[in-house]
Amino acid sequence: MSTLRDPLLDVSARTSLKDGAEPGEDVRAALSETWSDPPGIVGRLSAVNHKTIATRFIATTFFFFLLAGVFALMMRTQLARPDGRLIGPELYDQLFTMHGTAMMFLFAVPVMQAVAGWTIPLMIGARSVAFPRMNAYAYWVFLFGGLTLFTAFALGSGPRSGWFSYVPLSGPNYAPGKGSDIWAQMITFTELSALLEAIILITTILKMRAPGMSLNRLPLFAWATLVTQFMVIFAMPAIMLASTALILDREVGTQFYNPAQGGDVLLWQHLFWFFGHPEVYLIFIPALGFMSSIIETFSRRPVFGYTAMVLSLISTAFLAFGLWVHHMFATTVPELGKSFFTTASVLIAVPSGVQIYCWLATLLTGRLHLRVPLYFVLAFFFVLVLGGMTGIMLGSVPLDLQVHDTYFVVAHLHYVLIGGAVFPLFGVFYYWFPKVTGRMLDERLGLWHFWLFFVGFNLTFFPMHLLGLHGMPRRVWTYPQAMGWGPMNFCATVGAYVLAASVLAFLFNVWRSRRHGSVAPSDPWGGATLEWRTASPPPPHNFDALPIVHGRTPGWELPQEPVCVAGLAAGAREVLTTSALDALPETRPLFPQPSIWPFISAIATTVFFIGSIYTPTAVWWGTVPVAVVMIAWFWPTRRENRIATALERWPGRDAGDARVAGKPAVLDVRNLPSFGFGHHSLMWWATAGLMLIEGTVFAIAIGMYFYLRNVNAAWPLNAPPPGLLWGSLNTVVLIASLVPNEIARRAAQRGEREGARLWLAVCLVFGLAFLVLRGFEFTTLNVMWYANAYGSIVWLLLGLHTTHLITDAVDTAVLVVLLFTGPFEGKRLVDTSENAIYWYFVVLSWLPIYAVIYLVPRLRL
Amino acid sequence: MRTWLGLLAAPVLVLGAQSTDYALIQRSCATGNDLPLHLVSAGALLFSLAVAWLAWRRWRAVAHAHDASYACGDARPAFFASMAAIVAVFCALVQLMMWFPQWWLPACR
Repeated sequence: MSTLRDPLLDVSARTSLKDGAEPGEDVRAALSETWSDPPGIVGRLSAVNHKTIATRFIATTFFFFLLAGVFALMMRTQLARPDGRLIGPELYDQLFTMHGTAMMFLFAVPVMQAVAGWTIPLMIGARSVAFPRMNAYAYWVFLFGGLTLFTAFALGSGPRSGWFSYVPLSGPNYAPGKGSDIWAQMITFTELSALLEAIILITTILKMRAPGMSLNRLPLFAWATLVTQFMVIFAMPAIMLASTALILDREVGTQFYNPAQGGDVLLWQHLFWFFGHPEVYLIFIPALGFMSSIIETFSRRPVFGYTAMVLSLISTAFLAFGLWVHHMFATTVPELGKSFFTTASVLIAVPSGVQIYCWLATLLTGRLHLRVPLYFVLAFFFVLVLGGMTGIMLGSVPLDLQVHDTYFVVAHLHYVLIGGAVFPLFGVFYYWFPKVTGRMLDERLGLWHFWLFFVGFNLTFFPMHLLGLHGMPRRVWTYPQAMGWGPMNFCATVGAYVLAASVLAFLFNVWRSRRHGSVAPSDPWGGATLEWRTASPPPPHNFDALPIVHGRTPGWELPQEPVCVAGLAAGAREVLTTSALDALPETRPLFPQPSIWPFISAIATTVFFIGSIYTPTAVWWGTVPVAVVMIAWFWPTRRENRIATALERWPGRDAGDARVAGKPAVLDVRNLPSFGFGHHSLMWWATAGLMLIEGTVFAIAIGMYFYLRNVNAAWPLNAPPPGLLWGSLNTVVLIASLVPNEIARRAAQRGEREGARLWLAVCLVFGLAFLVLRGFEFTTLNVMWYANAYGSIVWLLLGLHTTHLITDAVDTAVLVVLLFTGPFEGKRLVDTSENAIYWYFVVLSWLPIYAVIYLVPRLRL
Repeated sequence: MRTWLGLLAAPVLVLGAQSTDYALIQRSCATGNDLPLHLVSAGALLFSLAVAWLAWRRWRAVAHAHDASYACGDARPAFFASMAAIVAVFCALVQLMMWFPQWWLPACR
């Protein structure tokens, strides 16, 4: 094995050893070494293995969960008795803000992505997630964002405007200090991380499934994850824009939310809840996947109604975007408008109900094995149905107006979120703990945990329904004895301590079982999915040979041939990609080595984000280090280049198809191309995800423009329409840049490095010309950003587009330099091709912005 | 395409119709003309029904080989077509339900 330690000495040893059926010790050892994270402190900071990153992610989110739980206990202690004086109102405001913020942004959504990041590659038969370095970067950014929030709280600068941070309460006039700025920037941290994870998981599920796992064979948890990640892409940009507008109002004097200058406070609520309501489903839908996994295994039968389950997931995901106004029934929204959202709020019960009936049918027709994970699942039915029923009640405008902002809503949301997500999450911890650690969690302690949690939960939150109906408002730090709310509050507080005891029992169980638990076999529960087909815990490379799927429940089916994939290099991080719909083998690209650069990039990003809380100039000095370290991250090394070149096969030239061969028959993939263009490339999917995110950002920003226009009769707020000269000239330049861009793209696809670099350079010149002209455009605008809401939104639209163009110009410049100088094997021409697609996006996204800024003010509609 | 229209375009269009109707309420109140609201709702409803029919046709066409509920790889087209037909019908139902209030509630309340 010593020859494999230095690929410069022996590249052929690294690339000639292949995996396959019944691999020898040398293959196993090579695979293990190849996919392991490096040792030492630097090695730990450089780790990219998906299991390492996901384990850190889960531990971090759980740490934030515990902190947020402690805050909840403090609040419950304060409210245990009337006229409590344990905590003052100032600290109480910070506590409920931190509790909600941490639970929603730092625990509930990321923990679902983290669990998916651990299990999805195993469940679909892959060796890694797509873009492993980006995965590491997403984790570090998330960690630093969470630490920023808690550090600010510890230093007395915590936010205190609620987890929803409504304006004007969080605006410059009512929230002095840095608390709201830190909240807004924490949003940017966590949303960036979530969006990156969404792209990673979508690409992994659609492009890295084991051969044979067509989408109608995809495990239901993977379906739930896939649907959720698309929701992330469309939901998160709204809150990112909302929080950006908030921080701009606070830092540089824009007027988005200032009614005195044409802004509107309800704009915040629309943006926040356009994200906020789907967020409930971002938490809930993965948990539905947990449910399906556990129910299937412990019922000993496939889930009843697979097709109905999947279409219910898809329907729920779509409809989740049509409910947001039901959080605003107590505002001045027109009654007719409210009725649209009442309808959608009630009808979303249909797909949810379909899933519940499918699970019940599965349980009723299966052979139940009543173990701890199933206890949590059964509790889900009781708790979530209660939460769902109160949800339907709250979807009705008259009732919502009566109980709005009371403890009834607190009870409802905890029944939905804890019942719908935390119960299944604990269940799945017990379910997958043996796979993660190789040890079983203790069953008796698990039952203690379950019953304490179930009783404590209902003791805490059921009385809140009654408190709400008795009129107790949310977010009050104390209440007078005469209101008669004392006994039920005391009951809720006792329940909260029981809940805390249950979590302690769980932590003790984890700690004890990790060391002394019984050793878990590879498949302790008799599961049907692929993660149970490998050792517990899995080796660094997940599978000695990638499996081939012949049905929906591979673990319960008789072995069929071909038995596995063969022909991937054991000494290099070679993976198999398959087609999105039918999982047919396509390419065998090479994944990158562990690297410290994602960690350093996350630090640079953190410096930029935190710096911009204190000074707008960070936009200039903070972004340069980010760009520099990211260029270093992506700069190809000669070491990796030699391995890539040795393994490279051009699509359509020297490559062929996968073929079935050998005895037992295996699927030999060594003739597959090592890369592909268009949708055959993983980069294409990342670029498509990026374009979806940014398209949503632009669409929402344009929506903000029309919203502000709608609430202001005198649009554009007494400003003259902007001059057409610079904007129109810019449009011509950008459209002209498409010609060299397209020539460069075609040259890259033909493998013509010279043509690609020449025309990409020409394209870059057009881009730079555009940026110069954009400078003139800004200086001749008819209104400044601080003048009124019209100025704010125009500058935001222009600024957003300029940012994208600068980013793409830098990207293009780096590619041009690489094409002229660096080691640039054929595979990297894919980057050129994808950059060209992104250039199309940046150019074409300018056209609606141009129309909005320059043409709409001239229209008299 | 017949599958993707039902599975993706119908829900997107119904959500778009919901937001468009919502945005049009103020204008309808100002002008006293409800027609744009009804046109948007009717258009979304008809589109959903039309693509549901297309998806159902596709489902019938591909299901003879393998039923949508089968797990074999060849059943994938029927699987998606059946989902598309049902999702589009559900979208039509949602759209119809959202249209009802427009018949009775005035835009200016």
